[in-house]
Amino acid sequence: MAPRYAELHAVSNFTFLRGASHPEELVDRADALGYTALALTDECSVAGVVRAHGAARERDLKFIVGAEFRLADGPALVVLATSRRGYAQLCRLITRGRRNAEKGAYRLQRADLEDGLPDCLALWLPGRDLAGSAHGDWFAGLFPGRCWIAAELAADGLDRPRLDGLCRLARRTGLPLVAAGDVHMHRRGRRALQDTLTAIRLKVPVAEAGFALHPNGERHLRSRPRLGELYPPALLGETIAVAERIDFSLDELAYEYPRELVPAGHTAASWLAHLTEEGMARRWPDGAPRKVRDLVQHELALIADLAYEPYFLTVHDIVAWARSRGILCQGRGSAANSAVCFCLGITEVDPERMSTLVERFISKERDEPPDIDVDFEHERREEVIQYIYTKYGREHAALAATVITYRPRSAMRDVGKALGLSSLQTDRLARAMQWWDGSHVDPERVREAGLDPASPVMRRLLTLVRELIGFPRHLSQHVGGFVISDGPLEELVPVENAAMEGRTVIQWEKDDLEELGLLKVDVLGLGMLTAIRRCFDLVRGFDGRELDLAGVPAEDPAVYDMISAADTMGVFQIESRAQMAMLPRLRPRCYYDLVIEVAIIRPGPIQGDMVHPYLRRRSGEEAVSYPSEEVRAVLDRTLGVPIFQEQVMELAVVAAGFTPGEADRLRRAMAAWKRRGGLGPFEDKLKAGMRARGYSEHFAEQIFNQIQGFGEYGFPESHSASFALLVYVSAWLKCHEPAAFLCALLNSQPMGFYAPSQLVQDAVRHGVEVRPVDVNASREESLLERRDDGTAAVRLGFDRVKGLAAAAAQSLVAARESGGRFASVQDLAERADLDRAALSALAAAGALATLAGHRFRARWDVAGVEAPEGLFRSMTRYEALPLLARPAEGQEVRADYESLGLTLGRHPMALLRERFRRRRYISAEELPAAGHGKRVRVAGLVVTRQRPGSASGVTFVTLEDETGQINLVVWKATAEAQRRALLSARLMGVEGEVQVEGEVIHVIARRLTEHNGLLGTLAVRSRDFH
Amino acid sequence: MVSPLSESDSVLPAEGEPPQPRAERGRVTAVPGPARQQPLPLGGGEPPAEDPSPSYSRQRRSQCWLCIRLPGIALEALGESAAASAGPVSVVEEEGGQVVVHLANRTAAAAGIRPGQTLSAALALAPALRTLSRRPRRERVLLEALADWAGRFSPLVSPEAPDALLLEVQGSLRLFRGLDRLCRLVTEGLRQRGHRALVCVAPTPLAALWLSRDASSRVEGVAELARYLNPLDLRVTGWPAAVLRALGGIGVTTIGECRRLPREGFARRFGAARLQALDRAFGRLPDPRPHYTGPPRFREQIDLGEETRDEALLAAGCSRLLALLEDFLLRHQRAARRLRFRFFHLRGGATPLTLGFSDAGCDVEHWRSLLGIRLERLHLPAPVIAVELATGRLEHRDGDTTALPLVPGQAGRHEEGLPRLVESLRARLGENAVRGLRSLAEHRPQQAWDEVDPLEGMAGDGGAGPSPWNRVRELPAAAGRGEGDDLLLERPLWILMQPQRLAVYEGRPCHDGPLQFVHGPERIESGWWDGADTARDYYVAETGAGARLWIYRDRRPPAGWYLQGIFG
Repeated sequence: MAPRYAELHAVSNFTFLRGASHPEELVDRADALGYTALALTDECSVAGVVRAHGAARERDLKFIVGAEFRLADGPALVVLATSRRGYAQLCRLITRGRRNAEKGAYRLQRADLEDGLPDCLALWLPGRDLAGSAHGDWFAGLFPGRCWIAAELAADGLDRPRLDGLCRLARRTGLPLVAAGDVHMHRRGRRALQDTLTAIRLKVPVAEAGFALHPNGERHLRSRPRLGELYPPALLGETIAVAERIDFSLDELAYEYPRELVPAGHTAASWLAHLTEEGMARRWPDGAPRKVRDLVQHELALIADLAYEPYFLTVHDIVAWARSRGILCQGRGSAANSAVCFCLGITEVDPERMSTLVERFISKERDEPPDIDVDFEHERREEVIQYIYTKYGREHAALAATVITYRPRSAMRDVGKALGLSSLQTDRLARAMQWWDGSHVDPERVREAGLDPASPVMRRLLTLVRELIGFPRHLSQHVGGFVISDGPLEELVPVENAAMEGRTVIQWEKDDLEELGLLKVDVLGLGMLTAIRRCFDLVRGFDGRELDLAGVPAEDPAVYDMISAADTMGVFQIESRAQMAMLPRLRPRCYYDLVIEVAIIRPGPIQGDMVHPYLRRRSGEEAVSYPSEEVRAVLDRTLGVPIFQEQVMELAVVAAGFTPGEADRLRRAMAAWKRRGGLGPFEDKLKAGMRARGYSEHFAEQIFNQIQGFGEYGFPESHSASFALLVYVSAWLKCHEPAAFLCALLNSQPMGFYAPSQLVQDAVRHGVEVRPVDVNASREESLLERRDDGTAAVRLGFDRVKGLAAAAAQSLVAARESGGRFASVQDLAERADLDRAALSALAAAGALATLAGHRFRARWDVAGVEAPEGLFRSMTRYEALPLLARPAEGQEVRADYESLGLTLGRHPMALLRERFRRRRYISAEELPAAGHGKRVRVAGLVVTRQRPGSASGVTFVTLEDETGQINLVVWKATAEAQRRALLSARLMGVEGEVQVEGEVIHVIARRLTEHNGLLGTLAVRSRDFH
Repeated sequence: MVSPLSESDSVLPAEGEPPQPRAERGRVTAVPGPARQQPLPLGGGEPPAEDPSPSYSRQRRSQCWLCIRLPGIALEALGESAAASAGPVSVVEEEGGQVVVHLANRTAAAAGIRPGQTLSAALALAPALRTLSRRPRRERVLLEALADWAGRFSPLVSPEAPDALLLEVQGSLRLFRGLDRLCRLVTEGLRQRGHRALVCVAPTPLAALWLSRDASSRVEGVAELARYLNPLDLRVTGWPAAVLRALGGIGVTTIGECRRLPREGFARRFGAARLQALDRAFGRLPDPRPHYTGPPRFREQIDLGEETRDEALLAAGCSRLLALLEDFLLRHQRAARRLRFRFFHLRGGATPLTLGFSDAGCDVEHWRSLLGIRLERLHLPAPVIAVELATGRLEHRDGDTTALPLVPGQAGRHEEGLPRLVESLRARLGENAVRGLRSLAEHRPQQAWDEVDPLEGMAGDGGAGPSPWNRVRELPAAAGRGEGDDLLLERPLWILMQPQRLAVYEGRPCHDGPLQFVHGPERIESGWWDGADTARDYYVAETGAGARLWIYRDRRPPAGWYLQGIFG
């Protein structure tokens, strides 16, 4: 009979570069081996416990939360939490250790433990210190009656003397012995990976890691019979005794939102009702419609039922503060699209504008916390974050962590190094990881890297890489997931330093919080909000008109015409190639069309083959039918095609009989199935449920495929609805305020798909006048100037000038404002106190044209500016004037690109047009006339190269010539065969066939040629997306 | 006396060099006509550069400079196989934290690989690209060797690192029967040695150098310089990139355009050194060049004055030679790896004695003592009348010069202890008779030590490493636990290279009868990374006779018991 056993000392891969198994793997294995309990004791961390807890709950294994510590001035020990209080003490200790050291490290001393772990048990890890030194007494004194000496036997040849020594130590200190495994992996088979991790940690090849490696693979979860051979029975029995003293589960963690938001005399509910009422009066000064009033009442009741008031109040507080600072923001997410949130100002999407049904977002039965993400202007998000820290304090607010895991490339790099490959080889292999399909790498790529794909080294490498992928590497901060708590946060989860100065993160990530049902607020940054706010400001500054998100005239047909023509460069969300290709087919005519548009052009729906059915139904080519009335209710608004995540969940409920809670688990499984697998049980239940309700096998199959296609990319309607508003507003601005819109986009760079050059070209094509950078007219950023006819022109700002420091630009503007226009380069240098680098940058940008003439002259002048010296400060130096030729147009254009990244002169292609014309190349403008299927030649600057994951190896290339953009489709075979031209061309010539689909014109590339030579050193940068 | 101008005047047209030198390469370059040619300035009041008799060059003796440029030296320095490879090869170097292409061979260039590209860009173009790291030191040595070789064409050879040699050949023209033949000899000679070379001739060294960065050409006289140099891209000057960028920024990209700028303004903006360089190139300023005197090589001979076999006398003679060598090495900052003494006999013939060292050095005291040992055993067939000492190729004393005594008598680390002993032992027993053992940080007993050259790894980091037997102490400490020292593993002094399979009787391993386990098991599972993955349980066992053995059971099939070592 195998002895009972509880493992009390095991580290997972959350003890970075030491543990060689996932927490779930440890739990599963411990359960399979029939362990009574398993403690996860990562080093000064509980980052992995939620995962282990989740797995243990499913398996019915007793799970113990603990951590391992190595004290700077004392012994190593394991601390186990016996209760909620003990858990809080443990978290506090971890927090202290982590906050004491820089990111990723911890530092604890004996003194740090002394004030309290009264509700924890402890195992002393004496290591080789069997003499006991002074630690034993300290240890025994600190944990009276609740501490043990861990006897860890690893068959290293010293087990017997060690055990003898430990027994002596136990007698001397009076502490009991308990067996423990010092577990680093769930199976012996991870030995190679564990060695590799050690090598990576020490930054040496495995072959040189020497005695830093464990001598054998014993540090795994060993079978109970084997443990029985190794340990005296009493020591094994003691593990059970220890485990039995522990009565704590992470499920006990409950969460309370800060109470301070509720003024005296109010309850959270009454205060929320009060604020909602106030907001309603603001939104509808003449009184809200009956429908809205009812909706609000209904929602408030629901919120009260679930006791979510503090959550709404917290979000409201943050949003209200941001608004008071003029920071544009908008909420999205499951709870955001409620009428209550509209009244509270959390979102601007008028519930009247779409058929909001709050149960779509919050439900009583679903055991799901409400989710509100708030987007803020990306440049001002930091202010919001600092506000939260200030308001709630670091004891109550921290960012969620993001676990950075090994990806194929990083895994290849690290394992390669550990196996002693040269950095050159590893780099080349890492490159080859682009072709990683999860189990093997294209052998051709391996050969290209100079290695034999069948060699033992490669086999070892690939095996280890496969195991390592997905391993956590370190904790980083989540972009904006805030946890705010009523009690001290560090009693809920440890807090540690983030890489960024002044930031702290908790040790759990979003999924962990969700798993435990804890609430968080996502404070995110969105570049488009910055641009829109800037645009509103510019319009107000120019002619005093006030605009805001809700106030932009709704449902303007001109805007929808523009969108339907795919004239959307710079517009939020719908400016990508894929979106632009779809717009003329979808022809959105109303707000809800935009909601669909945003959600449908995504990898999920594309892979799930939802786009084409929807298009056919929308155009009337295909009849819309529903297998039942229930299904119609769910899918009516999207013509019978499930497009949103919520619809899938609703379908699961109405068609397959899921409970709302199950549907929510399905949603989470959907998000993660690619990473973790596990749609299996849902598949059966779903199909069986549908069959039972009389739906056809075909329908069930189709729905399931669509769910799978959603994968991680499925987009919730609640997010789409909020985004669609920004789509509409930015499109409206582009349509009606093109100058201000361009100016705002330029000042909010980098953002979006297009570089300033394309944005400027596009605006110019739309008749916007763009004026050059000029030391006597420009400011730090681009600005609007009034043209003679009273309309706006854009003056480029100094921020476009490469190599000009912001401080120099500021001092220039200040000098001009105080002392008037500059008269000469010397005058500029002296008054604005500019150094040669700044002057050179201005000369290169052509910004000195009004002072010195053409660029060559300007640069000569700048080169001759002397540093002002005392008395001779303003002494003019007379010297011979050089005869400098005026730069040729091509040189000017090239210099424009080099310094500004764009030109206001003629497009480089215009200069080369004659040359291309002679070789029968046509322009973008002439493409439509060429006709479908025609063989043509086109050429242009490469603007973007994009290889979307969903497009099975197709590369999309966008070229730009003087008349517009040309969309290329490069099939995989063409790309492989003509890789050089594809990758290196900045000016690309293409021979291919025209493909016309509605208003969308592509050129299917057959032959690519590179004409970089024609550009000289024209610095044209392509934006490459993968 | 030499009459250079007339001679070269006659040579060039005969050479078939067209009067418009640039046309041959099919490049369209306007031959500067007089209208464009009248530069304002780069000369202030001085006569324009085209003046056939510029002030400085009128006074000086005419010179004829030949520039040999070796565009492939970075590759050629890496050995024949690299240079001859048919596939795409490039030499790369690190620049500002990035690996960039320094040189691409023909195949690589055809694939679009260019100097200055980042390695990743190059690999994207030619995934099969073979990349070699640039070895500046080897290039230097190669250039020096070629300078040495070029000494046959001129007494004045001046290397221009990294890839050019300048030869003043005015005086050699007669000897080599004209420039034409001389150039051919140079190119041909280099080709035979496996070097691609480009030869330019000009009356000033800088002009020859600059021209060579463009293409082969010959300029026969100062008056002709402007015509050839003016159209050249300024990049041939090798001026700093910042200066070239600045000049490009005002539209000045050729030497001619540069010379049209006002002298003072030019010097103020771009540096007086640039102006001087232009003046030197055009022969307005003298441009003295350092002579390359060939690699220092030591060879001295002393006469003993009488025939002798007297060891003391011979030793004294050798000692004097060594003193001369020491002085020489110090002066030239070189080090020697091999010394060759030759003891000349009156009747003819010589007896050689060679000393070789593990490291190039200059420690004469040490050599003297080694020589003493060898002299004792030297068999001399006849009395000796003279002794010669010659060194092999001397090495640069860079790298770990700290280990070498820079001042005579100052002891370096190399002298002490083990190396001295080893060299003495080797002097007596022969090179291969002395071996070293090194213990490795390894869990697997068989891989835990290896044989090394006893001197290897002695220098620098004190890399003697732990001896195999202090490994016992190493192990637990390295395992990273605790600080005590009370648990130690036992390891035998004798390890069998080839473990010996043990007979098994009734499940127990036997060696002179069944074995008694004393300690164990010590499980060793390690070494998966090199194909010799081991999974064994080790035991200390005792034979009936009381001998202690180190044995193991293999946990892999075919399982079995083996003898690994014997305790002393």
